[in-house]
Amino acid sequence: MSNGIYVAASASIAAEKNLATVANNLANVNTAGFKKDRSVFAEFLADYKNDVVNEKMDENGVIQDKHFVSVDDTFTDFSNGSLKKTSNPLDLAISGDAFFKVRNQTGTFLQRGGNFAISSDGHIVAKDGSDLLDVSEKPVVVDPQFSIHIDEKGGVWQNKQKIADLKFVSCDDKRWLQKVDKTRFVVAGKGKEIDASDFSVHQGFIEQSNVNAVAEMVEMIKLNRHFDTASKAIHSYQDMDNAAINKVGRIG
Amino acid sequence: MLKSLDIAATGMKAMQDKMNVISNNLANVNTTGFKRNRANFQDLLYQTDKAAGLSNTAGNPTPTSEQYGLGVQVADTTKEFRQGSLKNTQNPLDIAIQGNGFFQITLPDGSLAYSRDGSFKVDNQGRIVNSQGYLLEPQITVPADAVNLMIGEDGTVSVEQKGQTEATEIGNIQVANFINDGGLKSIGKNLFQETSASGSPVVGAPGENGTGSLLQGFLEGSNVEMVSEMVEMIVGQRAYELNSKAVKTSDSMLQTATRLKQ
Repeated sequence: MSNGIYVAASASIAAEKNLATVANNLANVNTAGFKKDRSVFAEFLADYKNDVVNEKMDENGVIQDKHFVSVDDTFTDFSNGSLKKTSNPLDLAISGDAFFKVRNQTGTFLQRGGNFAISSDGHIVAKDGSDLLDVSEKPVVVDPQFSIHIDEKGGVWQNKQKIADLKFVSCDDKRWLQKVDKTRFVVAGKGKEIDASDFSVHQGFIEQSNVNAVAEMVEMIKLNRHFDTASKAIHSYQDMDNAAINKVGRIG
Repeated sequence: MLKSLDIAATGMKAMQDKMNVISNNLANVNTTGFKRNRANFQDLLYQTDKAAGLSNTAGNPTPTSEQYGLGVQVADTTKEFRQGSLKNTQNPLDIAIQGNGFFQITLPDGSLAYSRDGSFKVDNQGRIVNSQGYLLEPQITVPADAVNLMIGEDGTVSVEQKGQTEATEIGNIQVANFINDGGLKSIGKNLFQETSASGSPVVGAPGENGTGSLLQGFLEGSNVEMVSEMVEMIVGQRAYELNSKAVKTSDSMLQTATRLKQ
């Protein structure tokens, strides 16, 4: 039997995984602060028994040339989404490289989605009740009697007084930012949280999802064709095996 | 089966919810004191097939992970309490609040509800009531011989009576303010109820404690803007369509996979 059929199968599986990523991007095309994901494919060699030798040979001494494919990584594209005016004073959008920092019982998170509200105890909170943190990592407490103004650098003003500076953070190497739900991230592994400097805040705006519908459609067409092509290859291998079993050696 | 099929379905479901919210906004484009709703979305959990930080053969941790998002959900529907446009009606019992605050209305069961709808009437006993006949709190009774009714910016209600030269004060309209008005619960009929999220109301004269002042002879229109709702509708519909394409693609892949076995 030919092993090539497994190579074609690996390509099908990779396309299927890629579709999961594309479908998630499309599902979040209207999610404020969402950052799209992309799949990275890698080829890998299987039945590669003797990795000390540079020659890639199988046990029969035949040079290996079967390159399997798999989804190696998914990475997040942190490019800015476009800003949409809402005029809601607690809709905050960041342009540049920064994240809001929020805290709930389960921990602290980085988030881009900036639709906040005021809790009944006067804290500025995210939609699930997590506190938005200021520079000293404390919740921001506002006086409901006065309107809230937030300046370009995240200073919170009420009644012409600055009452707090919001905390803005980033990660030294954003590849370490791991997605959790609610358009939030955590710093994982060797990543270090750093104070953000290169950003501006826009009050009354929302950062839209950075998913580009056209690009996702193109990606989807591509992966669909990729999947079809791989399935054709599987058919060809089936035909070859079929011929080997039923035709080779037949007399007459 | 394919993850993408379910993921795309969450996208279609979320866009359906968005359309429901937009339809309700559009249906209330002429409702006095109506506040538009907005559906906010958030991504669902992520399935981590390979975590970041696993050691590679050289002993260094891999910097990225293999994560699959499982779709989208509605985070909440926020009420936007932006001021609606004011419409001059010349009716002495039409009152608009310019700024924050709500009128207090006594429900038939005795509990209080809150409203921005200031189209008040007088019932057969002279009491000021809303369009459903529910009493305004604090209760104000207009004397039967009143010829003119005046409502001041600070909520003072006074009347001119037959045969008298000076106006008589008959009561004060108070407004309630909430620290988190987005947490109020809509109960229909332009009424809201307090919840643990909205906090307790701070009641006072209009213009105090950050509340707005009253304006007699005006009604606050709906704050729904037709054009932005239409734009939202287009966005929602197209996103629905895009997700349906992801469903179709998943289906076509499943079909191809099924055909592998001849």
